[in-house]
Amino acid sequence: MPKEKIDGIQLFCLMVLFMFGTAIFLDLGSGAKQDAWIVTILSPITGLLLFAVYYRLYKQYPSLPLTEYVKKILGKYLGSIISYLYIIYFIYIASRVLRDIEELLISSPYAKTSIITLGICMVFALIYAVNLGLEVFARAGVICFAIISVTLFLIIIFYVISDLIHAENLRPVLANGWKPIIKEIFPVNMTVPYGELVLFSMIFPLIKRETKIMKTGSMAIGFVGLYLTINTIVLICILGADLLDRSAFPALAAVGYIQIAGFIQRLDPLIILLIVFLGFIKVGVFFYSAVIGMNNLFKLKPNAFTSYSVGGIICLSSIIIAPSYQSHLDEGLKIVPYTLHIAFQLVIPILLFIVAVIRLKWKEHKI
Amino acid sequence: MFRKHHSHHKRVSKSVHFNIQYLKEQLGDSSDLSVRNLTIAELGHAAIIHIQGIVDEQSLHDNVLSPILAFIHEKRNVHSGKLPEEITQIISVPKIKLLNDWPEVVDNLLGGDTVILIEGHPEAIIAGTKKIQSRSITEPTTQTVIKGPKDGFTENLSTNISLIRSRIQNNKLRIEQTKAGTVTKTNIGILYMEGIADKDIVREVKLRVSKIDIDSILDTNYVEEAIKDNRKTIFPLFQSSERPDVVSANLLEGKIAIIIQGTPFALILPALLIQFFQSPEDYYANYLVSSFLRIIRIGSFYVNMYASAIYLALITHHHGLIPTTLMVTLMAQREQVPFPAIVELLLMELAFEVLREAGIRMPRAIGPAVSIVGALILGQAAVEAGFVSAAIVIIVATTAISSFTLPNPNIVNAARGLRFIFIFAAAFIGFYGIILVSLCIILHLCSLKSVGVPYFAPFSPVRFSDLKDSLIRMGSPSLLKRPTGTNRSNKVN
Repeated sequence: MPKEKIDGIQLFCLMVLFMFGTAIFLDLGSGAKQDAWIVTILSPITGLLLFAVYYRLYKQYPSLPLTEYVKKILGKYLGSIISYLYIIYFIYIASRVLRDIEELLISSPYAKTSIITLGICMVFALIYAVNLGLEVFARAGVICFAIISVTLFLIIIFYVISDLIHAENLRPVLANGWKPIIKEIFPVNMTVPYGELVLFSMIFPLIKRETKIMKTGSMAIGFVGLYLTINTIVLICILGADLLDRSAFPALAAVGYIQIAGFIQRLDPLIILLIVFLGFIKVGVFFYSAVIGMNNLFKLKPNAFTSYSVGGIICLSSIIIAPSYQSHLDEGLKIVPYTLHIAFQLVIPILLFIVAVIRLKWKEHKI
Repeated sequence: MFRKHHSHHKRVSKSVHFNIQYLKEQLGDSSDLSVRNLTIAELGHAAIIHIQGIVDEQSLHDNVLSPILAFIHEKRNVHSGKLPEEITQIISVPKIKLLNDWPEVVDNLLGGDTVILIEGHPEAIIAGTKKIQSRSITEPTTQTVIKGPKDGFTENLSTNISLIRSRIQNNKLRIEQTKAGTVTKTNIGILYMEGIADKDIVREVKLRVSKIDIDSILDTNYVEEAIKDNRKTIFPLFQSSERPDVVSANLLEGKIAIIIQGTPFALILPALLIQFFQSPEDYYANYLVSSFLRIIRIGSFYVNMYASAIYLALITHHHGLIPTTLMVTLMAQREQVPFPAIVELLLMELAFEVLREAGIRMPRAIGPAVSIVGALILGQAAVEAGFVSAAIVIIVATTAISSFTLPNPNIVNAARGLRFIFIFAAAFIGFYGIILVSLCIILHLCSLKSVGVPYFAPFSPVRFSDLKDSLIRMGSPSLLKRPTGTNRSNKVN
């Protein structure tokens, strides 16, 4: 029987979970102090523009993933090099996200566990998932979406019940003008999480034909923007701008304050649940894209060997990429967005788009 | 191999004597083969052959023997060439046919029919006198209900079909019989509602049943294992039930039932995971109460899988999450216990599994002995002796009780198996392990299919209209639509 393709609801859930990824644990836009929420409410617009570029490219080659149509656009040799770079980029980002998860877990509930143990467990589960295929992964995504929505909703309710919300932390609005906000949006908040949607160029061919991808995608981006804004406002209200900027994982710090009737005190299991589910989905999608990219590039049949080897690489490089958590964060904030993200999420897709359009015009002209 | 048997067709001979010799040879001169020789006037020998015990003696006497004897007595002057046709006219059983192919004749004889042979005619008359001994209709022992129909299937295929026919008096009910099992040649009935059941699924099921290639079929599980989509799974992919009301309800939802001669359990397919949490009583009681009970049942399923693993994770990895006073109590208990928590838990879990198995297999008379040994020695004495802590006994007991709420034994077995995986994951790396294993199980469930229908529907892929009868059951007006998962041809009616 043929594989069932991904439908609209599954795509929506997968995109939302993917963008939530590690974003809901990090201090998004904290450089803009108490105006961080303006950053999170504006950055989806830039995300939408990027998504439109990826979507237009897909429309030109509706049955091919990114690593394949690069070859069509730029020719066999240059295209192969670019798609090879993309595969490495996917693996690199997957290991960065895995490192984030490992650090999150080490930081509170697993202080005495070795970092590689956590990584190996996760990668084994991921290899199982990748071998089942992305269609299954997307179906499981719907269930994960339901579980995570309930959990996030519960946590916000707990914040309110514990009387932690102090709205005065939000003032003054725009104390330093628009400059810090623009600086935050471009490039850090544009690239993570929205720019990472470039990865869905690998997934579009697996989606049912009749799905309205642009509509679903915009809804997902809007939903994520809205939730992240609410999340940021809540965090600013609880922690204040200073603490928000200083703490590595503000969400963890805020959850620590929750105390209801002396009974609900430690919500660590919920936090582990969120970290594992979201991290799993995010690393999983990168992992899967790297695997199909590799199979296509090297003309391999779908096999378990590729997924095992890519899994091994992700697990090892998650530890090798940075000597300490601080340097991992520094790379993530100061180096990766400016070099890798801008190149792979912005420059290359736009160039590809321009070349593809010119080629199309050229062909029409010839005829 | 066995199938070659059919390739060289032996025909019935003209000589009655030779035929009887051949039959005796085929059946190894079996003691229950009964042969009655007759002489029909000047026309020669005849023989009436049946196997004792599987024929209806009354019918054989009244409808076959008496008319033939009367015919002989009249000594009518018949044309000898037409004799078999004449005999078929006077025998008064509902099913009668003429055969000349030996394997078919032997099959019919073994099925309980009577064979009549006449000298000079290379044909056998087969009279349908089949009567298979079976117990009477009793209350089903599994899936019991307080309120609702009390009849259950028996081991007899035709009785079972009649129980369904009496519930669905509709000309669209289709019953197709085939045989499977190269040695046992078991009768299998495939039942579905024409126009409601999905044609593709019906075709697929028939195809798979026709491809069954095993020696024997003694229970539904033989068929289930032969035709299921994914053999590497702990979850039951088809539902089995001994209740005619459950089978009828499922047929009306567009599902297909497979009924097998010799077992009171019918197979219902395709099945969804959520079906295993639904009791027939859900539909016989108030929907609000049913919804509540269904949530309780699903909750117990989770308790059954997770309770011991979560306790283990808390006590070995996440001390900080236990409130201080409770922690003090737990630690005070554990102080005298010589084993690590995982050993303690596994010992008790295995002891319970052994008790449970003993409870099923033991002769009825020694039941009380087992429960005394189980409850007193394993429970109380083990705690008093300081081998295990009282908390573990409570956890294991909760797990055990919760498994008895589920209406289908197959899903309980799945939970039992998964419980041990969770325990090992929790012992190894705490909540992180439990959550990773849960994720893998979700992925596994999403990948499963039952005859091509996604097993985890209506949750994923999401079917909003079917969610009304999943975790809860809404009232009748909102259940007017048929489930979409198994039925695409006739959505609303």
